[in-house]
Amino acid sequence: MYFKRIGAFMICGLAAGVLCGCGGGGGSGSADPVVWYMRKPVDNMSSYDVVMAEANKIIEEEIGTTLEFRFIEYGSYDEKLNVLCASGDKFDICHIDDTAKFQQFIKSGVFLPIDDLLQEYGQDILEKQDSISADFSKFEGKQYAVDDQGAYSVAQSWVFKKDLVDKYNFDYKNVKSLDDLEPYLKLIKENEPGITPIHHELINFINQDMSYSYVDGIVFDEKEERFVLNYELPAEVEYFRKKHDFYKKGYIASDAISKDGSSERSSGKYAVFNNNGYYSEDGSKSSSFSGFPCVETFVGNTVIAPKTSGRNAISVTSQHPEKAMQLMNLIWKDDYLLNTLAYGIEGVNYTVNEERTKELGKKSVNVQSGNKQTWAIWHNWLGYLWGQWDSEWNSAESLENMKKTNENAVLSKTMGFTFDTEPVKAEVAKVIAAAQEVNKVISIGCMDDFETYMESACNKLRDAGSDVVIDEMNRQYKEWKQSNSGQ
Amino acid sequence: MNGKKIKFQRSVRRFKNSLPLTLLALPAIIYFIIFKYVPLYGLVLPFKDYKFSKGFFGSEWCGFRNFEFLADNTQLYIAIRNTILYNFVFIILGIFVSVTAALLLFELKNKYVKLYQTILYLPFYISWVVVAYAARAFLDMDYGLINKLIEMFGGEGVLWYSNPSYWPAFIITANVWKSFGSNAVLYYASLMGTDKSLFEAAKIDGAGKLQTIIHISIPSIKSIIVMMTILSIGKIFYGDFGLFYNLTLNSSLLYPTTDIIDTYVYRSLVKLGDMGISSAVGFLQSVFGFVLVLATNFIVRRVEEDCSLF
Repeated sequence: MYFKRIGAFMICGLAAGVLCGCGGGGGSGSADPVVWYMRKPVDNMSSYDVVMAEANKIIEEEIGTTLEFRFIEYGSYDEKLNVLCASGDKFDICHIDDTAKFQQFIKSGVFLPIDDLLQEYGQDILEKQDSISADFSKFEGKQYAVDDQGAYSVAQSWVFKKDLVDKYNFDYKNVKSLDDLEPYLKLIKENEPGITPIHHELINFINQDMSYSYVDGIVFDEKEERFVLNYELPAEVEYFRKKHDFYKKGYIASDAISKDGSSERSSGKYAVFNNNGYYSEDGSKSSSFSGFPCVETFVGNTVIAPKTSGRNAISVTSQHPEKAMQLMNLIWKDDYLLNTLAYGIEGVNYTVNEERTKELGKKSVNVQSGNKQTWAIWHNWLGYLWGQWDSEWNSAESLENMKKTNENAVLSKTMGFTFDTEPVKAEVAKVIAAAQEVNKVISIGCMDDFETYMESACNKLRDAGSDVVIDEMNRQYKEWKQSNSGQ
Repeated sequence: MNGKKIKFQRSVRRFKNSLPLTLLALPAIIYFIIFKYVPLYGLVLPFKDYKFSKGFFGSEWCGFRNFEFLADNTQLYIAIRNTILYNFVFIILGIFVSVTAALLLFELKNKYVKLYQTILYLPFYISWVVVAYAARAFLDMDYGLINKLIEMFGGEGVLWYSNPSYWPAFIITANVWKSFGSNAVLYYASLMGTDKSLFEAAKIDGAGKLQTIIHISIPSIKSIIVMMTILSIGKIFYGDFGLFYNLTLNSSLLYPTTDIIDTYVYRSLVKLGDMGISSAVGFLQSVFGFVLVLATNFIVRRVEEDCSLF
C-alpha cells in the first residue's frame, strides 16, 4: 500500500514536470509584435523598456504594430539561432552575420525570399541602400535579406610599433611590399631579443586579381574568370614562399601555429602586424585598439567579394512578413527612429553635443560608454548606417571615409554569384577539411621544405576531390554569367 | 494452454513482488525512454535530404547520398585508425592503472583514504579547456616548464605543438590522468563489497599480500572489470572531442597523430552544416559500436557466463 502511494506521487510529479516542460516557452503575444532576434550588442541593456516605449510610439502610429527585440548572448547566438530555426520558432526578423550560415539557412528553407515585399513595402530601402549591397544577399537570383551597410572593402595597412620605428628611424611610409619590409625585420631580429619582428597573420599584399570563394582552398582568379586552387596561382605561391623565408629567418614566431591570432597581435610583442580592419592615416585607430602608440602604412583596399557583411532576413515562420518589411523600411526612412533604437533616449542614454552640432550642421551626440552604458544597437545591424548621428561610435568624417572606400574598391566579378554545394557536397566537405589542415601551415610558413609541402598540400586537396568541386563551380559560374548577361 | 496461463500468472506475481524495485528504477526508465528511445526516430536523418522548413518527416529521402562522404576518404581513414588505436590503449591502460590504484587504496587502511579518493577523482571534473591551458604551461615554446628545464641543462627547446610524434604519449597521459580516478573509485567500492571473511580466511591460511590480491581481490572485481570493458568497447568509434581538439590547441601540424573521427567531421562540416552527412557518420559510429558490444559480449559469455553483460 505504502509503495503504491509513493508510486502514485512519483508518477504525478513526473507527469507534471513533463507537461510544464512542454508548456513553457509559449509566452505572451496578444498584440503580435514583430519579433526581431539579434546578438546582444552590450551586456547591460537595462534601458530596454524606456527605449522601446519611445520607439514603439512611432512604430505603432506609422504601421500599427509594435517591435520586440529578443537579444541572445553574443557567443551562443549562432547556435541558438540554429535551434530556433530547426524547431520552427515563430519570429519575424533575425540578424545573421555569418554568410556561410546564411546560405545554409536559405537552403534549409528558413528564410523568405523578399523581392516582392521589397517592391511593395521597402521603397525607402531600395532607394537608400548602397547599390552593391543589394547583391550580397542574393541567392540563386532571389533576394533573401536586407543587407547591412558598411565598409565592404577593408582598407588594409601595416601597423608599426611606434617606439621601435622611432628608435631605428625606419622610413615606414614608403613600404610597399614584403621586400621593403625585410631590412627592418632583420634589424629588429638582431637587436630586439624580446620582440618578434612580424605577426604571422599578414595582409595578402592585396591581390586584386583574386578573391576568395565559399570553399576554403579554392579561389577565384579575377583575370581568367575561373575558380582555381589557391596554391596553384603563381602570385600566391610567391607570397607564401616569401613567408616561409621569413619563418626560416626567424622573423615569424616559431610557435605561431599554436598562437591565437587577434589577441596576440595587439600584445606589444610584435614590431609589425596587420590592422584590425580599420585604417587611419595617423595610426590613431590601431593605437587605441592595441593600447600602445602605433603608426600605419596604407597598403590597399581588398577586393569586394560576395561574402563580407551581415544582414537582416525574414523568417518563413513569420505571421505577418509584410509588417516586418514595413518596419524595416520605417527604420530606414525615419532617422530619428533609427537613432533612438541605436543610441537610446536623450538625457538617459545620450546627450546632444550642441557645439559640434552647430559646427557640422548635423546632429551630434555624446553617448555613454563602459559601465554606464545601458543601451546600444549598432546602426548597421538596424539598417541605414549612413543615417547615423555623429558620435564617439562613428564621426561624420569616418562615415565619409567609409563611403569613399566603398566607392574606390574593386568589385569581384563573382558579385551576385552563389555556389550551390548540393551536387558535390561530399567533396566540398572533404576539401574544406583538407584545406583547413594545410592552410594555417602554409600561411605561417612553418613547413620543413617549401616545395615538397606545397606539392603534398595540392595533392591532399586533389585527393579530397578539389577537381570535381572546381569543375562544378566553374560550370555554375558560367551558367550564371550567361543567364545574367542575357537579361 | 494451461501451462501458458500459469506462466502468465507467475509473471504477474513476480511483477507485483518486485513493484517497489521497479518504482525505484522508474525515474531512470523514464529518462531512458525520453532521452534514448524517443530520439531513435532521428535514425531516419542519415537517409534524408533534411530541410528545416520541411521538418523531419517531410524532408525527402535521398538513399545513401549522405554516406558518399565516407567513401574514398583517406583523411577520414587516418582519423578512424587514430580513434580506434587511441581507444584501444585507453581501455587497456585505463583498466591497468585504475585497478592498481583501487587495490592500493584498498590495502591502505588509514583515515586518509577518503582524501586520496577525492584527489584521484578531482581531474574528472576539470574541463578539457582548462586542462589544455595547464598543459600549455608545460609545453609552451617560450615559457613552458619543460622547455625551460631543457634550456637550463643546455639543451634546445622543442616545438611541442608542431611535432606530431610526441603527441600519442601526451594524449594518453592526459586521458589516463583524467579518467583513472573515477574508475578506481568504482573498483574500490566493489572491493569494499567483498566478503570480509574471505580475507580473514586467507590471512589465517598464511597467504601473503600479493597472494591475497591475486586470488581474492582481483577475482572479486573481475565481473565489474569485464563489464566496464564491454561498455567502453561500445564507444570505440567515438573520440573525446574535448580532449583531442583542446589539448592540441587544434594545431594542424599535429593532425597526423591527433585527428580523430569527431574532430575530422567537425572540421569538414562546421561550415557546410549538413545535418545529413553528420548524422550519417554518427549513425555508423553507433552501429559499429553496437555490433562490437554484441560480439564482445558473445565471446565473454562463451568464456565465462557470469561476467557477460546480458
